[in-house]
Amino acid sequence: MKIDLGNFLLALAWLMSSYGFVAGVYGASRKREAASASAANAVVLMGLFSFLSLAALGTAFLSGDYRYEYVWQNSNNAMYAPYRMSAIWGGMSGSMLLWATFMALFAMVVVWRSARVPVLLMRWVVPVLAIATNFFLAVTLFLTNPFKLIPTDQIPTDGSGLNPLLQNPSMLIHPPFLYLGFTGFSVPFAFCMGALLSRQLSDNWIRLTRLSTLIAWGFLTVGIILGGHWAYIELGWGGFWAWDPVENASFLPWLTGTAFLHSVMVQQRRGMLKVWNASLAILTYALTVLGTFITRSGVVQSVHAFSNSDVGWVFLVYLAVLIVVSVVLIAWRWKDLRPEHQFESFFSRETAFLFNNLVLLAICFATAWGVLFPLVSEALSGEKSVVGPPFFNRVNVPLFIALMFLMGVGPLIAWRKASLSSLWKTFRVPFFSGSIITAIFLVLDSTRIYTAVSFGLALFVIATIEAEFRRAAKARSVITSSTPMQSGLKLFARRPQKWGGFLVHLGVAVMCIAITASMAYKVEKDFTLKTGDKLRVGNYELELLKLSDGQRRDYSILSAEVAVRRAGESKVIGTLRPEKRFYPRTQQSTTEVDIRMTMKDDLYIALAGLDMTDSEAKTMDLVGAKAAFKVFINPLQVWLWVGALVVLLGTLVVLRPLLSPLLGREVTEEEVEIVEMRARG
Amino acid sequence: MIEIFVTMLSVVIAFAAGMALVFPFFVAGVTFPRSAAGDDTKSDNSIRQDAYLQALEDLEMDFRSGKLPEAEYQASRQQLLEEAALLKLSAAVPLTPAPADAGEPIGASISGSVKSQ
Repeated sequence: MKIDLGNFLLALAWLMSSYGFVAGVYGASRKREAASASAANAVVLMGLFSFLSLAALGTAFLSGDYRYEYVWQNSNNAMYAPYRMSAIWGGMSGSMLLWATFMALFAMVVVWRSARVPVLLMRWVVPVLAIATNFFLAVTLFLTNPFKLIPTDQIPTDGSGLNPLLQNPSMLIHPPFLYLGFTGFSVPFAFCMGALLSRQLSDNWIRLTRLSTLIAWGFLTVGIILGGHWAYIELGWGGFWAWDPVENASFLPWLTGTAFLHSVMVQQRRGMLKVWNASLAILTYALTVLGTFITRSGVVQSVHAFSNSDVGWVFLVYLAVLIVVSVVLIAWRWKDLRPEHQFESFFSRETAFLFNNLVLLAICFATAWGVLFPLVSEALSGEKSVVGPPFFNRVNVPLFIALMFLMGVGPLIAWRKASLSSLWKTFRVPFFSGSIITAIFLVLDSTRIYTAVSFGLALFVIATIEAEFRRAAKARSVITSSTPMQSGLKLFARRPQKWGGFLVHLGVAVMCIAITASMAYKVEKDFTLKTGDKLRVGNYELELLKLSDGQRRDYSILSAEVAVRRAGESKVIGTLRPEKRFYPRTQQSTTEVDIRMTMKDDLYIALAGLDMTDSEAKTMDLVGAKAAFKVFINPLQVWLWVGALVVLLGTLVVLRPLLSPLLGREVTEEEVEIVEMRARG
Repeated sequence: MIEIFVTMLSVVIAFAAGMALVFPFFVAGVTFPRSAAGDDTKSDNSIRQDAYLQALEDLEMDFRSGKLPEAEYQASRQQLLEEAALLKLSAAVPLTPAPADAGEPIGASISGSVKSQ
C-alpha cells in the first residue's frame, strides 16, 4: 500500500479532532478525568499533525513536487523560493489547510496553557476547540484536499505558476496574518461556549481570553492593513480600500472584535453586558465563517482569486448550525447572564462604550448588507444588483465620524456617572481645538462638511489623549516626586492596558486624517506621453525620459523612466520607474507602480501600456512611441501607514504584561501603595 | 525503499498517537487540566478585587489631576469601597473589625489580600 505522508498526517489530524470532541464531551458531561485528559492529548496531536501536514505541503512546493495537482497549479520552476512558499495559500486548498492548521495550533496552545483555567470550564473548552477545528480539517481533507495526486503517467516537469498579482512581498505575510486573526477568534468563542456549557459564567472566560483576543485582533488589524498596502502598490488604481467583498469579509469580524474588546471592560468593571459580550464573541467567530462563505462560494463577485468553488454551501450549513446552537445556549443560561448593575447615567463610560459598540455593529451591519445585497436582490427580483463604494461611503462615513467622537469621549469619561462640570473640565480644550479646525476647513470649503468634521474630530481625539497624558504625568510626578517626563514614560510601564489603548486610538486618529485627506483632496489624471514630453499634474511636472523593454526570469517588462520636478522649477527632485509586466506562462499582466513618498503627499505613477496601433506594435519602436499613464497625488498618504504602525505599537504595549505571565495581570506594588496611602488618609 | 520507510513511519506515528490517547485511561493520577481551581468563583473574586483596585486608582488619579470635584470623588470612592466590602463578604473572608470610617480599612484589606496572592 502506498501512503502519502502529507495526506496521512492530515487524515490523522482530522481523526484526532473527531476523537477530541467525542472524548471531551464524554469527559466533561460525565466528569471522567481520564476521558478529558485523553481529549486534551488528542487536541495537542491535532495541532502537531496539522502542522506537519502543512510542512509536507511546503516541502512539496519548495522541491517542485508536481505529483500534487495543487503544487502544479500554483507554482513553477521559475518562481523564487519565498513565492513558492506563499503559493501554499495562493489557492483554495492550501489556504484551507493553513486556516485549519492555525486553528489547531491555537487549540494546542490553549491546552498547553490550561494550568490556571478552572477545571469545569476547561473541560468544555477542549471539545469546542476540537469540533471547531474538525470542521475546517474535514473541508480540507474531503472537499479541497491539497494532496490530490496527478496520475503517475501524466506528471508534468513544470507547473502552471502562481497568479502574478500574488507574487508580491506583501502576499508573503498578508494572508497568514489575516488567517491568524480569523482563527485566533476561535479561542474566545471556545471559552464563551465552554463557559455557557459549564455554567462558569463569571468574568473568568473574558480574562482568560484577553490575550488571545488581543493577539487575534492585532493579527487581523495588521493583515487588513497589509492587504490595503498590497492593493495600493500592486493593483495600480491609486487606492488602498475598494470595499471589495473579500476586503469586507475581513473587516466584518474586525468590527465585532473591536466592539468585544471594548465591551468586556464594562463587564469586568461593572458586571454588565454579559449577554452582549457572549453574543459578540460568538458573532465575531461566526463572521469569520461568513467571510469564508463569501470568499469561497463564488456567489458574490470579487477581484480576489478564491471564488467560484463549490464548497460555499458547507460553510453556510456550518454557520446556520453555529448560530442555532449559540442562541439556544445563551437562552438556556439567560438567568446566569443577568447584569449585576444597571446603567446609572447617560454620561458615563459604560454608556459611551455601549454606543461605541452600537456604532461598530451598525457599520458591520451596513457593510454586511452591502456585501450580501446581490444575493438578496437576486432572490427578490431575479437580478443580481451590486452596490459599490459610493453606497459604503455614504452609509459608513457618518458612522465612522460618530465612532471618532466616541473614541475621544469614551476613555476619559468617568465610570457610573460623570457630572457636567467634570465633563466640561475634561473636554473643553479638546472640544474647542476640534471645533476651530472644523470651522477653518468649513470656511475654506463649505461643501466639504464631512471632511471638515473628520479633521476636527481627529484633532479632538489627539487633544484628549494629549491632555490626559499631561494630566496623568503631572499627577504622578507629584506622587512620586519625579519629573513629568519621567512620570509620563512610566505611565506606559505601569498601566500598559490603558496607555497602550490610548496609543491605538492615537494611531487611528492619525489614520483618519490620512484617509480623509487622501479621499477628499486626491488628484487623478490619465494621459499619454512620448519621450521628451512634459506634463503638469498638481504641483509636479513630469517628463518622460525614456521607454524600454526587457526580459526577466519568467516575465517580460515594459518600463518607463519619468523625471519629476516641482512645477515651475528646473531641478529634478526624483525619477520614477513604473513598469508593466507580462507573464507568458499564465498570460497575465501586472502593473508595477512607482511612488514618490513624502510626508506631504504620494506621487503615484502607473504605466497603463503603450498607446500605439497594431502595426506600430509589431515593430515595437519605443523611441517614438506614446505611453499611457495614470497618475495620482494622494495627500498625507504616508500617514496612513505611520498611523498603522502606531496602532501596532499600542497593541504591543497592551499585550506586553499579558504575555508574561501569560494569564492574568499581577497587581503592581504601586497600585497597592496608592490604595494603602488613601487608607492611611 | 522510500515508500517502505514512509509506510513504516506512518504506522509508528499512528501507533504513538493511539498510545497517547489511551495513556490517561491506564495510568492513575492523570488529570486535565492541572488546575487547582474546581470552579471559577474564587478566581472571579480575585478578578473583581483587581478591578476595584484599578477603579480606586483611576479615581484617585482623576481627583489628583483635577478632573473630578471633591464631592464627586468622595461619593464615587465610598460607593466603590462599599461594593468591595460586599465582595469581601461574599468571598467569606473575615473582615477586620469595623472602624469609624468603614471605607479605609476595607480598601487596605483588599489591597492586602491582593498583595498576598
